[in-house]
Amino acid sequence: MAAVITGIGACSPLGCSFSESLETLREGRPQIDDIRNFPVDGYPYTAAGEIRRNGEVVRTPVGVDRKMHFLELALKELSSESAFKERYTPGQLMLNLGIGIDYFELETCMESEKISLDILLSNGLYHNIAPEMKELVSRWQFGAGYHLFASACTASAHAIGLSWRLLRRGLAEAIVTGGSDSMIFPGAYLGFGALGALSASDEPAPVKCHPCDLNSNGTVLGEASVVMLLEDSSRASGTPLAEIIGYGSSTDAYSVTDPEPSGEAAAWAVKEALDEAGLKPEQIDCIHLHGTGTVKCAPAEYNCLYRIFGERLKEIPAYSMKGQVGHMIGSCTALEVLGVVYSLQNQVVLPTVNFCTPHPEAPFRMVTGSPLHTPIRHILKINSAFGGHNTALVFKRWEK
Amino acid sequence: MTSIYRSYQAGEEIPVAPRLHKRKLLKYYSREAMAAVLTASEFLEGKALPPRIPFYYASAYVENLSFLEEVFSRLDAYPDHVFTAERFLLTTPPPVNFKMMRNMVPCFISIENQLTGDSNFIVDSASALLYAALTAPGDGPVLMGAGYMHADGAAEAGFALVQPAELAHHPLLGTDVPAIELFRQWRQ
Repeated sequence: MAAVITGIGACSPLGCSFSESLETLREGRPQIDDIRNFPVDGYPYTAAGEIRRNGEVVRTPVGVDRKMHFLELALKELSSESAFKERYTPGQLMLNLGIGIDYFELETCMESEKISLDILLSNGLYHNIAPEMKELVSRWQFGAGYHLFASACTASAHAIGLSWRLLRRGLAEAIVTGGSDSMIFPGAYLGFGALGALSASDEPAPVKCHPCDLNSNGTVLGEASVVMLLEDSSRASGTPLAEIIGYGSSTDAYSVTDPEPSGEAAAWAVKEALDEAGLKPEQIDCIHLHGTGTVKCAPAEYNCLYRIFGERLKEIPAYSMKGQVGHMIGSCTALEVLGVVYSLQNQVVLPTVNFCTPHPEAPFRMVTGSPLHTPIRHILKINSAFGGHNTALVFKRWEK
Repeated sequence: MTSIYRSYQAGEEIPVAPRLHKRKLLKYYSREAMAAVLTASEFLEGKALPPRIPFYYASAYVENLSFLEEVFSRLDAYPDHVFTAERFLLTTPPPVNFKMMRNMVPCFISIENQLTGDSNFIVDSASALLYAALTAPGDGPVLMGAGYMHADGAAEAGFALVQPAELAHHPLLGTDVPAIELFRQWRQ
């Protein structure tokens, strides 16, 4: 059996459809800007990759959990494009998603006489994702179960990876997987910023995030809802977008926030994914990195991958999407699958937006200027997270 | 299969500190983290785990509220009740904000027990935890865990060492039953 992606629904800074997203990727226009969805007067950080429709940031009123709002839109697009509801019975459909933290409105709660959890909960100012997701699952009729993953920046990789394992072992027939996350609301945005991972540079917002660059100084938060249909190729109704052939994960057991600098545990995830795929390292044509733009990310990623690829790592084209759109946390891998699909379908490695100066401790072969046209059959996609989670997925160009 | 299940009442001391290797991380712990790390420590004591044993953990959603309670208690000190970025950042230092991240509990367990293998962190689902274990790489045992912190601060935690094949056809696969229920049942 071949586990293939046969449709994608996407809402992200790249656009509110799969096709618009691919076009924005191709154009390479930075989609990070100053936050428009709520006032940021006095904020030490003001940049984000907010979701856009036809180029304009989508504004949602206070009280709307953006990750649920956009998930609904992404599901509608996927349903329309892949006809999964027509082709499978509810009992055959499973939903596996990476998500982030719950949405809450501290700023509204503070307007009340007494600030308390009771006020927050009784006034609908806290959106618990569990009941909201249960309602969504019931309405969309995912009768084979639904499962949520919350390992921060690897949440959607864990969702996609487990989905692949379930499909490959015959434990599921059709899975809608991916991720949905938005931390673009005051409490989460400020709280995440306080952890020290955001860029506090005075550069303009569109050039704040520099993945794998010597001048990396922090990441920028983004938001995205991306869902994809994963099914056996024999059941696919159209031409698959890509095939997943390997997945692995590991944990650093090292630090709450920092990646383990030697990359040892992260390399185990990559090796496991390659072994599952039945590939040797020399068969990887391109690497799509986590590439957050934080100071410690790129050297740790390089050390991890050097353990697998050795000196050849300097020759393998590498790419990070985060310079263009920011870091989607619980949905970052799901969004970055669009970059993988673009590379496989167009046989190009896109330039990494805002990459300018090579990092001596992470001398990746980043593409700048124009897209690099090169034969691409297999792509390695890696991600890592606060908490020490590491994931690796191997994608293959679809071949009958 | 071997398993453990522990529960702590609201306000009950959870004596995790003496068992910690990395005590400086204690300031980041929620009550679920305390219960889970202590229970894992008791469970794994004296056991020789295979290197890189897969470890999957599921946590209940209510853990997030402890973060908000701390934030509220600090912001309530401003009598004019005006929310500003400066006030938020002054009153909610990183140890509070870390509790916002859902995956801190398995992170602490991994660090304390040097668990570096295949992993997943699941939101409150026995089914997802079972599926993760069922599809674990390799043919050895896996370590499963779950925690649940109730709104009043009561905390539960459970862990099990299982062979994935033992979980095939488990009745909670495909259900939306909380993961901690697995460990309540296995205790009996």
